[in-house]
Amino acid sequence: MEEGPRPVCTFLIPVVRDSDRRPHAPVVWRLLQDALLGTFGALSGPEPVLYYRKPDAVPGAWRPEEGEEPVEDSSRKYTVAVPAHRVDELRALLRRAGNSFDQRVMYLEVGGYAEFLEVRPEDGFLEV
Amino acid sequence: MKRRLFQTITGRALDLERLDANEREFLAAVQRRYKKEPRWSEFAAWWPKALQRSGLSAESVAYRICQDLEARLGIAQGKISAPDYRDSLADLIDERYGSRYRFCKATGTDPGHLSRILAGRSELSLQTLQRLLEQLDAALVIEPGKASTERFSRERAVRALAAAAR
Repeated sequence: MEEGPRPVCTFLIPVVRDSDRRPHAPVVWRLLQDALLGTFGALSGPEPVLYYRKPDAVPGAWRPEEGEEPVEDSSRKYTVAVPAHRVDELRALLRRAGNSFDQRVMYLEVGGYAEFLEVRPEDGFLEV
Repeated sequence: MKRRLFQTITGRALDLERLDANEREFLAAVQRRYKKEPRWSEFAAWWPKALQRSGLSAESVAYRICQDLEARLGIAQGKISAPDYRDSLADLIDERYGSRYRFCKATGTDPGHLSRILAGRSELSLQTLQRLLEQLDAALVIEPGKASTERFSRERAVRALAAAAR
């Protein structure tokens, strides 16, 4: 096992796509699990959570602004302890997951600090 | 004698003849859990830990079986879409080539386009799909909805698991 600090990282995967609000295809869940396992050796299962979000890429505005309707989504919460020097690899993996899961922003917590990862087409996809 | 197989939601046949005692014991525990119709995320949180506790890894056929069982629960509970051609395509690529990269290199397929298709962000023309299927030594089959629904049902997996645990 790698030595050094391992911040606890938590991220959310909404169970529906941003564009059409439909559930994901089986293949993307499988690819996420394979990617987590292949990259970090993590085999942790998710927990279901409910949260309110604004799916636009506006850092700090995850909760809806005044006058806007909140979007209530079920999500799966994953927790992995990643060596500090590899947190950027997790961010990159989550951006790829964002494209595969059709999300514009991915929510990540690293050691208790929240991050909103904007997903861009050039970030790529989870791969077979 | 009929060979014991576990057929995944995409039709991939996983060989149950080579399971060792540890894998059989683990799958018997999975079967007991699965018969109780757990919630999708509850089962998803349980089986990776149980797999690790059993000393099994992702190399075991039990890993793929559990991923498949999880997907069936998600479909039955409305949390996951029913599989379509993308799921079968990804599985075939994995089975025959091991990675999308190797498949694209061997067949001259644009990797970016294939990734967008697998992520549901783009569609394949029928012509392109036929070309890819030829390269994968597979064929397009149209079947009644009932037949495909039966293939990815939870009940079918329970029966296959019972065979695996024997």
